[in-house]
Amino acid sequence: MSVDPDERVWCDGLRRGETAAFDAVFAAYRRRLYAYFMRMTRRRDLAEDLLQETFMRLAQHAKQLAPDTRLAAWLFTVAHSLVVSWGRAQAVRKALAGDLPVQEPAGNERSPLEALADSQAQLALERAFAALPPAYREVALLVGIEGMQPSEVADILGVRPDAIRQRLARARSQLADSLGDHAPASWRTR
Amino acid sequence: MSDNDDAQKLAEISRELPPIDIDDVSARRIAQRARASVGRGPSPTRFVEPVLVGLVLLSVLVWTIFKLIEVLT
Repeated sequence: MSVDPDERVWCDGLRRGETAAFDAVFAAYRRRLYAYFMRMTRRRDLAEDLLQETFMRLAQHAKQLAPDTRLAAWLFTVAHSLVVSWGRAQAVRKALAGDLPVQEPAGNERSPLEALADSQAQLALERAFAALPPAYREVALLVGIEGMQPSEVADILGVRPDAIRQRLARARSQLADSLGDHAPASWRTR
Repeated sequence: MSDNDDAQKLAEISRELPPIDIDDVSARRIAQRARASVGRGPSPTRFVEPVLVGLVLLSVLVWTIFKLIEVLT
């Protein structure tokens, strides 16, 4: 896969320790990574922390980047590992909490993501994505929103391309089920 | 259904998702913190803890060996 000429320039700049190159990468990826973290964690504070950690790692590893590094893949690999670590910590916390009562948000309260929806269709879509199991949601986000190839996503997540294709098909099928009447017409004619 | 078709349909529907962006104040704060580390590499203090733990383990191991020798001789 070829590297975008802009990215090559940014990589060279990062390798030389130039803050201007870092600023360019930050401007290009901050929204994409933040949206990914928001949709994976559904928490604004956590999404900000993970975004900061991702860019801290980029800054700290700037000089070790290869000249042909694909920054999107590099950044989303870091982002994925941070989300996995957070997921594990969540699981441990839940296990340790045992029977302690957990404060759940009120049923009719909108999440920060749902609050961004302008229409019923957007709300239904955001809820349908949120309802996907994290492994399917992640693939759907990387392929659907980020426009990555399944093989590239397989590299980022460290799984076989077959598994990505399977998750992709299941994500699509579950989204269609969740969306019901809100699904695009082309999705319903199967 | 091919995976290309799945990818295409997901891309089609994902375009309808509401855009999300971090607020400018938080973005500036994050950029400023990370920018300060560009090219500096991770802090060497991250090695302090493993080195200390290693030293403690090593000293316990040495002490155990000496004690064993003392008991056996």
